[in-house]
This record gives sequence, C-alpha cells and structure tokens, in this order.
Amino acid sequence: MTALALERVTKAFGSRTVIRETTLEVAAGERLALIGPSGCGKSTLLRMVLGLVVPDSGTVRVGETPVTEETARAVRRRVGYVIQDGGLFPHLTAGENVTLVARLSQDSERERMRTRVRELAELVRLPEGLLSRHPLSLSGGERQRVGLMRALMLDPDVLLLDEPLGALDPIVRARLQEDLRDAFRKLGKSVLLVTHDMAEAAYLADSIVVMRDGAFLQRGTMKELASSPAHPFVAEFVGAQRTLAESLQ
Amino acid sequence: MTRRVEHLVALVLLVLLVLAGVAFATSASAADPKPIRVGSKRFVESYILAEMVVQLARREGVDAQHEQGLGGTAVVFRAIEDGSIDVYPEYTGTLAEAAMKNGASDLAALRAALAPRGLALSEPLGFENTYALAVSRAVATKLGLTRISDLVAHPELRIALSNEFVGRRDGWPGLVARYGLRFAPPKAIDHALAYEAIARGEADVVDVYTTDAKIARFDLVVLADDLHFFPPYDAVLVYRADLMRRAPAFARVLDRLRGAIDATAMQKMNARADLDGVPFARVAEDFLAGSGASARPSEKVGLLAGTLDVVRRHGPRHLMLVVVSLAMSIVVGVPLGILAYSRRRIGVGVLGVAGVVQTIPSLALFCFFIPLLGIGPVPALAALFLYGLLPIVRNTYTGLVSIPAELREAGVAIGLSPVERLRHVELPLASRTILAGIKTSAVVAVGSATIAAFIGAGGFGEPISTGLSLNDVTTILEGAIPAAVMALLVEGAFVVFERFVVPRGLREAR
Repeated sequence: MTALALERVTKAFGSRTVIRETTLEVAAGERLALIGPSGCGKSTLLRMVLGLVVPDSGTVRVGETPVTEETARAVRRRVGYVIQDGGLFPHLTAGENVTLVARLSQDSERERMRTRVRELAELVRLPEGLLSRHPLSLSGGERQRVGLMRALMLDPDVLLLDEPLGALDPIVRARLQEDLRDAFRKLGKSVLLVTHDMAEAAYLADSIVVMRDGAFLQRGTMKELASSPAHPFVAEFVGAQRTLAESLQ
Repeated sequence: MTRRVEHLVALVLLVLLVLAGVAFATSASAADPKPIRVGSKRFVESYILAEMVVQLARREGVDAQHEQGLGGTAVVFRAIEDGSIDVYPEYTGTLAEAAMKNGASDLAALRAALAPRGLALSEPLGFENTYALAVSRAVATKLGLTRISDLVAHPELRIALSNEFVGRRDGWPGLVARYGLRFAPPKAIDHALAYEAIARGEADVVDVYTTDAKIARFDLVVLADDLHFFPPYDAVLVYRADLMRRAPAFARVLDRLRGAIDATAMQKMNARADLDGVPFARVAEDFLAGSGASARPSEKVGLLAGTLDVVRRHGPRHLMLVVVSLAMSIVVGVPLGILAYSRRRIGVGVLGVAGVVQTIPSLALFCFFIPLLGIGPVPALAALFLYGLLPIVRNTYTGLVSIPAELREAGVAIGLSPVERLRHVELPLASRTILAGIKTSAVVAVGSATIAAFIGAGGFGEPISTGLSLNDVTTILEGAIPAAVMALLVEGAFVVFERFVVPRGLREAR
C-alpha cells in the first residue's frame, strides 16, 4: 500500500524548470530521505504533497486521495509537517501551538487532548513544564521538539520533515536525531524527510533518493549508493560527506 | 484561561467606552423641541450681537442657543441657508458682495435677493461697521497720509490684511483696482493679530472695522475712503423666513433691536470685551439692561481655575468626539485593512484614497461636510472619522503584510481555513502594529477635534477659537492645555491597553 505518491509531476517557476518529470512513491511505514544540493527541487516536491505548490502536470495522491484545491485542506490535517526551527507561532504558548488545530476541530475533547499532549511530550522527550512557555523563550532544540509534537497531534498517516534539524548545533542535533529515530520506530509512520546531510539521511531513513537539477539520479540504501553509484554526482555527493575517522587522519 | 479573561476585560472596556461616547452624543442632540440657533462669526462684535439676540429671545420665552464663532461669512451663510442656524448678525455690504455676489446693496434689493432662499432681513440695528484701511500715527505723520489715495505714492509700504478681506471682491482686489494701488502682494493674517503686527512695526497698513475698539487703543489713523469704494455696511440680522412661524415671539426681538445700537455704543461694547476681557454674555446683558457704558471691572479668573472650568464644560464633548469617531474608524478601518491585505489590487486603491483624504487640510474637511450634514458634532464626527481611518487601515495592512512568509505558510500547512488563519494567527501577529495605528488615530483625533469648534461642534476648541478672535493667550491656553493633557493620557492608556490586546508571546519578543 502506498502512503503517498507523486506521478509524473513537473513544475516550472517562470522559465526556470524546478521539477523535471518525476515519479515517487512512499510505501506505508517506509522512511525515505530526499537528498541533494540546495535548489535541486527537494523541498518543492515536499510542498507539492501539501498542495502548497501545485504541479504544472502530473498528479499527487496522499493515501487514495488526489491532492486538489478542494481536498488540500483535509489532506493537510492528515499529514504532519515539520520545518526548520519548527515554524511555531510566537503569539501562542508551546502547548497552544501543539493543540491549535485540534481545538478548532469539532471533536476536540479536553481530557483526551490533555492525555494526547502528555503522550507526545514523552515521545519527543520534552519536559512538560516547557509547554506553558512561548516559543521565543525556548531553545532551538526545544522548539523543534514542539514542532514535531504539533505535527503528530492529529495522529497523521504521513510525516513530512523539511530540513528539521538544519538550524541546530551539532550536539543538540545528534541528540535529536536519536530521539527522532526512536519516535519514528515507535510510531511506524510513513516519513518523507528532506535534508542535505548524508549521514542524517542514512541514520533516519530506510532508503535515500539523490536529486539534482529537479530530477532523481538514484534511489537506494546508503550502502547501495556508496558501493554502486549510478551517476558520477552520486559518488561525488556520497564521497563529500567525510566520516569522523577520515577527518582525524 | 487567563488569556480568555484578559480578552473579555478588553472587550468590556471597549464596549463601555463606545457606549459612553454614544450616550454623550445622543444626550447632546436629544434636546426637543429645538431651540432657535443663533450663529456668529469669529470676531468680538459678532459674538456680542448674537448674545443679545439669544438673551432677548429668552426674555420673550423663546428657547435660544448661541452657535459661537462658526467661521467666516461663507461658512455662516451656508449654515443659515441649510437651516443649521436660524439667525445671525451681518452687514449689508458683506451680504451684497460676499454672500449674494450680485452687487445690490440697498435693503429692498437685498431682501428681494434673499427671499427665494427662504431668508429675510431685519431693519438696521442702528450702526455702521464698514471696512477701512488704517496706518500707525507715526507713519501717517511722517508721510502725510490722510486718504487712501495718498497710498498710491508709497508702494513701499507693507500691507497685512485679514484673510477674508484679501479674498473679497469688495475688499483688497476691488480697492486696488479703484485706487490704482501698486503694492507687493499683501500678507494675510488673522484680524486680531493685525494690530499686534502694526504695533511691532511688522506691517504699515492694515484693514480695520470702524467700530473696532483697538483703533483708539493702538493709536491708528483711519484713512478716508475718498473715492467711495466701500459700500454701506449697516448692521442687520439675517434670519430664516420660517422663523416667524416657528417662534412668533421672535418678532419682538427684532423690534427691540431696531435702531437700538449706535456706533459709539458698539465701539464701547467691543472695547469692554476685547480690551477688558468682560465675557460677551455680560457685555450684551449690561447693554440690554441700559448700563452698557458702565465699565464694570472684569472678573478675571486664574488660568488654573479657568482651565478646570473648561475641562468641566467642554471635556465631555471633546471626549465624545474622540471616542465615537475613533470607534467608527476602528470598526471600518480594520476590515478595510484586512480587505486591502487579502485583495491586493483593492488594497492599493483603498490606501491611495485614504492617503488623499489625509492631505486635505482639517478645517477644509470639516467645512466640506457642512452642506451635507449641517453644523455641530455630526459633521465633526464624520471628518474626524475620515482622518482616523488612514493610520488604522495602513497599519492593519502593514501588520498583516509583514508577517514572515514561513509563519503564514505554516498556518496553511497545518490545515487552517483562511478565516481560522486570520482569527488565530494573522490578526494576533499583527495586533501590535494595528494597535499602534489606532493609537496614532486617537492622538490625532484629540488634536483635530479642537478644530471642530470652528463648525460649532464644541469641545476644547471653543476656548481656543474664542481666544484666537480675542487675541487672548490665557483663553487659548485654557483650551490648549486640556487638549494636550488628554493627548498624553490617551498615549498612556494605550500602554495599558497593549497588555490586554497584544499576546504575551509577542511582547516578550521585544
């Protein structure tokens, strides 16, 4: 069963082609990383899933639902979305950010909501006391954990993450990578992750798609990409990510 | 939870403010049956004559009120034409030229011209107050000036004229043509200030009214009108023809005033009000009681006591003007700002129109509403409302537009509808900017409302306009100080208000 699918989608902004004809499927429970240099179109693909970018041709489906102007809002409530620095609203507390959409839905029940928030805080390892703070008085890592809670609040089928750890320092980043991996494993959700860090992609995802100039170069596990690159750029990109051992020599 | 309570408190405060304002507004206009309204222009003699009419009418059992110092001839004449006032003192020469524009100057011709407009003229009140040119005695002696014709030989003299005289056909332009004068363009100045100008040597020639008390005080020489340019300026009352039907007793007021005041009496009354600072009502009262000549010492109160009295009498009206007009500006301005944000093309138009309104001088905007809404607080509210609109529309628009793109998109991405985004994300994020716009409007309204007095809306502008026509700094301050204090209080109130309206998370961001 596919969790989400992009079929033969293309996109150009003016005369600049951003996505060449591309097809991508993420199976239920699969964790996939899109990786490539800045401007290769990986974020654009992610945004297509949410209907934030409308493809010039081709179709996008989440589960069985085609993403159109009419269905986009319903789809967004079934898809969790995390961006760099969390994208939290500064005028709401962390807790209010997490529960905003749930509170606006008809079936919001206070007690159930409170239980859910407690579960999520535990899952992303956020001290519950921080939920009454406003985003600007939280650290970057804490904000990211809150952002993840917000994305998970409505128990979505699919989780989209766009450079979620891009703005964090290495120690916080490493700890969050661990916590993210644990959470993904526990939840078993389909994940589409955009990053430019090969090690992060390999650590968090089952398989990796390498992109350049709006097209896919290769899809495979880290091991496959490293041992049999299908394109010189793939070899170069994998090779450019130095290991710690290498750096020490 | 606490947030909800804060919102509730803010809402209740706002509703109370608006209700208070509306209560003032309705109590001000609820007086029924309508009293007859006596207008006056912005100079001492006009105030005194209008006071006399009011007092005589009351003696005859006719309820009357004085709409003080409405402005120049154009404003007052328009006010009586559209029925905003019922009667006001005027001069035949002024009517002939400025208001009628047909040159007829005898009473019969004027009556015939006014009748189709539903207006009538009283018999002359007994004195003439014509325009004249005057120079200081020193200049007159040095250059040997006695007649206007003598000015032809001295084009180097500096002229300072009242605003109205500069523009009237029977004023400066006609005079220049008749006598063949060759002067540099004259300086236009408020009439009360012209005497100061000549006393300080900043001007050589000014226009005066012949009953003006200050001619003697400043030792000016009135130049003879040797070519008979100025038409007769007999003082009369202009009244609405239907007044006799509405208040038949008013005929006795006209009888009482027919030929009742001679030029000397008028000059003395002007001197008491203008030079001794006796209130207009007292001057009028003394004259009607037959003691017009008794120069009772004026009862000057201190600036503090005077200011407090002004606050008590004019404060509620001023506050009403500000609160009601501001409430209207908010109710219309915020949605317009939202519209400008969501429909950018409309937005450009809305901001453009609001910007143009802002450039109209405030007095002009107030006067613009007179033919539509009459005089009094209603046109003042309309003008203040328009003035208050731009800062609110612009700040609402700016506040919304400057929300960071990723936050706006985050609202979309988590599945909020446009209305939910506006309510829960965009307006709260823009709230500080919007509130700043409202604060600007409020402070501007406090200031602009002082000008509303010129169209009879009352408020702190009333002592200011009276003080201007008397050239009395104390009276001006009695209106200006409370207005300034109110502006500061409004600023302070918004600091408190911000705590309720702007979300805590944004205030911490500072």
